[in-house]
Amino acid sequence: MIEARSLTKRYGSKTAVDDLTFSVQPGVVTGFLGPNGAGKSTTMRVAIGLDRPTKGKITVNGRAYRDFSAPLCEVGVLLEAKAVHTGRSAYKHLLAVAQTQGIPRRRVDEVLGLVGLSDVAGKRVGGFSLGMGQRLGIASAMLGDPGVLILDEPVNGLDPEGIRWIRTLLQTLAAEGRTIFVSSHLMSEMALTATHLIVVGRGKLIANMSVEDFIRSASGDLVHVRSPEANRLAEVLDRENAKTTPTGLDTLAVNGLTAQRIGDLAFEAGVPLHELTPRQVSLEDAFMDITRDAVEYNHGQPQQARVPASATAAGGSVDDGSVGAGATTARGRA
Amino acid sequence: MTTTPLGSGETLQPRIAAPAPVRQPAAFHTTAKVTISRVLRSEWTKLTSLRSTMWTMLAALVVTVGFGCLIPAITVSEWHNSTPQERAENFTEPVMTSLAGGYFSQIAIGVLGVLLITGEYSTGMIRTSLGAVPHRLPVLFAKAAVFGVASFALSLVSILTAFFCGQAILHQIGLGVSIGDPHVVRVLLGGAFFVTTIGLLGLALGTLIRSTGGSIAALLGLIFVVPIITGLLPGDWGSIHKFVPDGGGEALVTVVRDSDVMTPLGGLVVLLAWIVVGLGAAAYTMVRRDA
Repeated sequence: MIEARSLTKRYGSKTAVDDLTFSVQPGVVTGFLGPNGAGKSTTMRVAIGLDRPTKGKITVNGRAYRDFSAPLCEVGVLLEAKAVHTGRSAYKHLLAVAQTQGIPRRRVDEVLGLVGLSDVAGKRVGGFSLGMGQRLGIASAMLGDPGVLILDEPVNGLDPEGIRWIRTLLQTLAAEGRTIFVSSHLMSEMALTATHLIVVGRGKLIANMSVEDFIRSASGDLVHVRSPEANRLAEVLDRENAKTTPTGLDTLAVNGLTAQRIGDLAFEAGVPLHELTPRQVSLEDAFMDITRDAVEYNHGQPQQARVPASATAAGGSVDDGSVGAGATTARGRA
Repeated sequence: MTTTPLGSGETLQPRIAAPAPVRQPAAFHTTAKVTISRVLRSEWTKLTSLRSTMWTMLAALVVTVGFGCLIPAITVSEWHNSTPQERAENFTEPVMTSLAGGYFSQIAIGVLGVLLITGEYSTGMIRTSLGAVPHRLPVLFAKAAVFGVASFALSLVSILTAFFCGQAILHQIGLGVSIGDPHVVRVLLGGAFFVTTIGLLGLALGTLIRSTGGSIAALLGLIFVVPIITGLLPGDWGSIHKFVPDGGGEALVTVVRDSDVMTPLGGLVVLLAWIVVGLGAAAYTMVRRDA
């Protein structure tokens, strides 16, 4: 288990991680999602003691990383950039890492086989493709057969086959009871790989919920309605606290009500309906919308990372983990 | 407006609670532990697994031996063209004559010392190294120990080879000395120790500065520019030269000593002080700074 408590990291006047509190459970793949510059890599660097937190702490299985006598056997790490000397062979690289804590040579051969690099073990890493570099990084992370894995953007640079390989590997490792913490800026990838999501923007926690909830709430209750009496229908729905937006002469986009409820209300009011379609918001759209205000280099002036106002206004969303109507209204404002 | 993150309630757990089977930890977990001797072994693997390192060390050896034979050969030919008075003035340091290659090998070893650590910073390897050994100092000290021993052994072998070759040539004109003569063993060991010191100062500067270019510039400045400046200082200020690495090395390898050169023991102390201060500063920053 990984636990962050009020974790804050500032570089000079720039706050990279801002009061993050979360925990990562064993047994499932937890996605760490956020746009570039959201503080994902910094959080991971602090977790393995490369950077010192300004405030707060992050522990693995209840202990600070530097307190482990054999850290590689507790936590396996893949950092975003290649962390390998390009002049050394893959085998010698892994051997040198293994030797620091008495991990046997045969384990080096094992992990090379696990990631499919046995044939190029003697080749210098400088000649590796990005995908091979990522595989070597995974091998390095698996060297100590750790119960916790922290992987920063592991699918970067991989071809579709490689991406599927990582996905399967991570799910297998999680099923063995390991804690798997994987960062990505790709929502679609996380939807396929992860079970739980921790979403950050501008260093702040935006969402902490299961992927299932995230998808359900994101694709939420936006309903496309077509009616010859669209205006009258809008009045009816507005009385029910729905948010209606005219999208054409006879069409409305409705937030806050289910298609079923809209149909019933229209029937009661005697308004004919020609179309009633719940619309799926794509995951990428949902992710973009909830992190829009948290994207770092958007409009020059730094803003506070925040939840779209309507997401909280929709009622109870903070507690039940729903992003509610925020997905669409945020787009309306922007 | 609120900054409360979505779904951050303490009760929130992953929806799909996988049945977490008890994983059998690997057998080596019972014996795995970071120890100094293991980090030393790891650093030895790192040192010997880079082609550039091996080539640089070979270059240092070739240059030391090459110039150790070449300069005495030139000396012999000059000897034949000199008057007796010139001979008495200019041919007083037969040991040093065969150690001329040391000037080049100190550059090679010094730059190698820089590259040992800046190569890790530039490639990102340092994050792997410090992630494996989070207390960090064992990495720096093991690196220094492995590299120090390797460069001392290499320097000593090349200096001895250069000495025997050079003195054999000088014997033609009766100037050659033997290893049993006074001061000779001290000069040879001192030369190897001086080259090793420059290598360790390179390692220290590389750790402090992190960039390869900046570190090499600083190192070359320390071993070549600083002696020029101390040489320009007026009066008593010039004696500062005794305390810079170049002055310390001079004290170790000089047979016929001027009054402004320290005793060999003093020179040894000066070089040791530079190593301690350099690696001490490197250790301080390595622990304090983010990797």
